[in-house]
Amino acid sequence: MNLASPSFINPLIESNKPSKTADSCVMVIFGATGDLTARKLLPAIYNLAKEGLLPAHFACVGFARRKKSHEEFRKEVKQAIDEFSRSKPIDQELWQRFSQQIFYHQSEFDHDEGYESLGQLLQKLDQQFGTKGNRVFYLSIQPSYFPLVAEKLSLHQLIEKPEPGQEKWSRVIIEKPFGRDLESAEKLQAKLLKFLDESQIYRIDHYLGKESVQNLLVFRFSNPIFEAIWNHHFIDNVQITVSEEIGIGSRGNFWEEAGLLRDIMQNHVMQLLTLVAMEPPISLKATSIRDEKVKVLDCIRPIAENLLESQVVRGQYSAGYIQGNPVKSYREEDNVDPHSNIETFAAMKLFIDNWRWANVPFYIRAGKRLPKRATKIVITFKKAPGYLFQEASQLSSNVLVIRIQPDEGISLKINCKVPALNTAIQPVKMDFHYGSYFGSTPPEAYERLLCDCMAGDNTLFARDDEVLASWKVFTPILHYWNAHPRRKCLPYTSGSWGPEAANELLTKDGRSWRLV
Amino acid sequence: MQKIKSMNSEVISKELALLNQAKLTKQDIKSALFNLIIYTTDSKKDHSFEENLQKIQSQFPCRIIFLQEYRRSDDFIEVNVSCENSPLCISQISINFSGKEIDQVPYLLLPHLIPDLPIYLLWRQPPEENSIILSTLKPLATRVIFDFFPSDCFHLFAKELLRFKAAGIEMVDMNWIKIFGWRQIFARAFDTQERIDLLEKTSSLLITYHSSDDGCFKKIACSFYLQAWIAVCLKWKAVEIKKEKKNFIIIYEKEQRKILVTISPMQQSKFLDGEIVKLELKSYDEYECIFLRQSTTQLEVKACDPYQCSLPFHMNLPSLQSGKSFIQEVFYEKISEHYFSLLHLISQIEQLKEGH
Repeated sequence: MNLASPSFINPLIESNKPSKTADSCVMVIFGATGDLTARKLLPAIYNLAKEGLLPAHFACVGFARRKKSHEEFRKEVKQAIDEFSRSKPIDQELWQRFSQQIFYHQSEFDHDEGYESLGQLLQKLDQQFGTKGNRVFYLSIQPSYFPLVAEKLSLHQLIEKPEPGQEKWSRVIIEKPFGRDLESAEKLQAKLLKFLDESQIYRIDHYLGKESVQNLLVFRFSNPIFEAIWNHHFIDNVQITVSEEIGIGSRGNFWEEAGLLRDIMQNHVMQLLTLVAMEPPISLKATSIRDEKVKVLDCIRPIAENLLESQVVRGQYSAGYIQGNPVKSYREEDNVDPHSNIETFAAMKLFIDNWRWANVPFYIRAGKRLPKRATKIVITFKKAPGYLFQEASQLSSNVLVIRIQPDEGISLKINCKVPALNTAIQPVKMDFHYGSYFGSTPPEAYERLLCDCMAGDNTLFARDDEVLASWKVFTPILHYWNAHPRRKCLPYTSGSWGPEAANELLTKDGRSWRLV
Repeated sequence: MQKIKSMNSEVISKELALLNQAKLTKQDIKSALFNLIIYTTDSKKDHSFEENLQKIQSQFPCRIIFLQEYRRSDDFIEVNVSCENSPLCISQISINFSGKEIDQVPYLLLPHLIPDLPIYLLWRQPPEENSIILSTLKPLATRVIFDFFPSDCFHLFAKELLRFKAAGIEMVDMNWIKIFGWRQIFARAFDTQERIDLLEKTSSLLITYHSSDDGCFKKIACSFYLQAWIAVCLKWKAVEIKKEKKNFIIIYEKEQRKILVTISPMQQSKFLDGEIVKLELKSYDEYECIFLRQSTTQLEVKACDPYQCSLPFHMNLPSLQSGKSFIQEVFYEKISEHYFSLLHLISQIEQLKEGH
């Protein structure tokens, strides 16, 4: 799908089978020597090549500050693929020709001559590979560099805003976080819009590239039995948990600046929440889906300042045990202030003030150094009226669990009679495991997202108003925390499910977190 | 494979359940996505078929029912069951038969279809065959997958397939799906108006395929479909069809310009019989483009016009990698409109002068 040249219809592609065909292009990765590039981006590009999903005319340029030759970079790329690719071992025959499409360009991000020579290299690659002047710029760099790089790219005519009839296109992929709060996100957006059109900005949230997340829409809107009960009449509460065993690792500097609310809650968790809560879109087009997501975010009830203490919990991990191994506290991590008040855990109760979700609490939590890595959405339905089975005092609620990762799947808890002479009731689980049906190696999220960007499909990328609406929810919380630095993060032992206050958030409502 | 002594459906079920229990470890989860019924005859097993079957078995938990008809004079029937749980759960019932025993085959297999799941019928015989099996299973099938191509009378074959479509039966054609990778690559190589304009001026097209013997027109299925697909997409009109020694020649016309298409066999033992090895395209403007298979997965593309040659580039044939996209096409993808247009084109071939 080339938005810049809608008039061209390829007779070789069927109109009734919209295929996602990545368009010819050069992909330039800024921050080519970084961790994300090695772990995710390069293996993803290699796997796309392996599956035959890269465009026929394609080249990749790594842009970074360190000096190295094309050959040295290719060697590093090979190592990264060897180590991190989902498909192993590396296909030597494929690598031979794929490596010849990879190049390296050294420059500081603020040096004009670096962009000048990049332009020359890209023109050469256009001639060599037939990439038609199309560009994807992947900014895998610190967010503070986004406006600078966009400005330089524009100044050197490496990106151009789309115009009617224009055939070549340029797109920019931006990693999260997009801003630090509402104000900074608005400023960043304004700066980017000087050089780019919104349609050229692809804000990546890798959660949206996950099969299990995409399945949320399919599950909700292709199974009417669930959609019919997907509202406040039947649903008691919704819980979303994103838990990680790992600590912050070597990302101390970043984490001290960001914290969990910015790194996970504002983007990943909100993406899941909007997909669970949105109304059916009028079509599967990017605009329709994104419109519905924004409506949900706009309906989230702002948490009044006097409720922030009781409805929002923040925590920070202290020393403890993960899988039987001792781990240190957050404050003992590298590049972390020993008195830091940055949160590594957050939990809160939100309400979506619309017809469908009236008074249904959405409990969301996310944290580092929790007992296990898991992302789950739990929909708890209202209990059946108990008069028929009064003897069965513990009649369970129906619970629908959507497992995003790991062990992707869906389970439904139902009540069942225990075979006996009395009417004892026992909850049982119907369970669908993705792996049992479709094998266990789905494409990596980045493969899907890079392919979509090359095809000009921005459905799975966050739109500006979506990001800003999400910041509107969280900025008052961040401001409150900043304004009350003495109210420390509640410590929680590594390997536990967070501070006790997170449990109290639900127990005072007569509920509890479902065991993850 | 566990041989079943009695031809009783209940016995088959019991044996299958026992095998399942014995093989299932505590970690295994029994699941099935669909039923797959495969009908074949003794002479019809080939490497490509086995490979495709392996792709299915390695990626999709399912129930497979093999129906193998032996063309011999006596009446015989034999049932075997097996169950594999590594890595996916595949339960398999194999019914071998000959002669009059064919009559009881549909009734033997019907109780073993897993309800509520799609039923795919893979048919490796001509579609017009008046078979009790086909007529019984056709209405139950979610999709009929044909894996057959005639050595002549293509128009009759195409007409028969179109009759299936007209009857509202969803069907796909393995030979069409086998060229999925080629279609994708061709579309990607000609992905701009400028590149399509080059195609529009095609003067000749040569498709070469591997044939381990001296050439049998049964093996031209993929090559035949590929050229017909290009013809349909570019709105070429077939005007003549003929066989010249081992070559198959079709002459098309568009805007009073003739396009000569040649399908030619060659020996390239690293490929399977019938697999396309090379596609060469020439235009009236002296533009030339060659797609050359270098291995099972790799393809080199070279293009030249009278003034310059672009650097050759390489592409991966999508369907032949993990097999995932191949299987997607067989079971899940929407039925291709291009394919039906192609069948229409082939069905009109009888009106042409057929030379031998």
